[in-house]
Amino acid sequence: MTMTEPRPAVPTTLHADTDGHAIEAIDLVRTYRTHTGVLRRRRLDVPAVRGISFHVRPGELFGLLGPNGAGKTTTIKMLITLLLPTSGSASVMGHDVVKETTEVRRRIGYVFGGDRGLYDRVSALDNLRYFAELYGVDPAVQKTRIGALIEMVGLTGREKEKVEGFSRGMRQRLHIARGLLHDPEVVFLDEPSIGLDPVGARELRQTVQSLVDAGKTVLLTTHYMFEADALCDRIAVINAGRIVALGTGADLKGAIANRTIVEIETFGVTEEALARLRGDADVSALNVEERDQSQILLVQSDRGTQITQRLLSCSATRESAR
Amino acid sequence: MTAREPTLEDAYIHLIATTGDDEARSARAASVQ
Repeated sequence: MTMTEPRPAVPTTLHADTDGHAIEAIDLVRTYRTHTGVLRRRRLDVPAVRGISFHVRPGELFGLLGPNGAGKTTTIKMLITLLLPTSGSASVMGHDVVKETTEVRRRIGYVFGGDRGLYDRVSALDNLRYFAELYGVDPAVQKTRIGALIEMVGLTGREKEKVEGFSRGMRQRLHIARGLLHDPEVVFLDEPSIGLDPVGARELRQTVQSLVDAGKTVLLTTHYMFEADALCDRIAVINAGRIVALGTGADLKGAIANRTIVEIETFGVTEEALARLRGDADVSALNVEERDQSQILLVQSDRGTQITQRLLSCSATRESAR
Repeated sequence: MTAREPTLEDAYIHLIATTGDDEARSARAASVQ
């Protein structure tokens, strides 16, 4: 990944708990209690996080990947003291997220994707001034810090404009500046690039990288694999409330290194054909991507290209080789 | 049709396809009281 010229770093130092971890989660569990039915109400316990353990080192950019509903945001909410764990424990910079909430909150910044969290009818500068007051930032350092953050997120020259005129990418970068006003040591980024166009997403990735360059510890959730691969030092994949893999991007790719991915472009492939493919003993995984009028079948197999003829006959409708 | 090396997205798809779902569904069903 190429980077733009170095931006002014927000001063900070790397600290950690006694075990050398910036974030530590031990067997975290969170179950939501809800009800179902109207006349015959039944209690329903929905396990969102079911025993997650991991640690993040100081200055590390750690990625959490997983499908919607896997438990990523619930995990983050427990770490930033917005949700109590049902069981298990967690600490941020050595402070327990249940017993020392104030200490944890002083040390963390939380940035989420989407349009909420900023005041549209005032300028970016006034938004940051306002939130700096709320965060209790010393007035003596407010001006310098806000200036440095505006520079860091690439909004220099636009800071006096109202936020309502900002693109989604600019808003997202302003969100990051807002989350850094109190100079947190750990930054949680919950799907910050959601809904951004490719240019906005690339600028945001550069901003995220500059956080790490400035010495911050970052925990990032994203649905964009390229983003995770380009940015993250280590990645945990969560599925159904559990960590199913943890390692570097290379580690995760290495787990299926002996496989070949065969891409087949089809038009109007039937469910029966997909079922035939999924049932093939040599097909390890099959994913279908809709692309314009066609469907791209991504077939994972240990047999490499030896099974391509069989794949073509299985998926036979009106396939087009490319 | 093209063949290529696995990417992180392929590893992710494999992991999600081979873990979790059935277990989560049964856990959810068992939690109804």
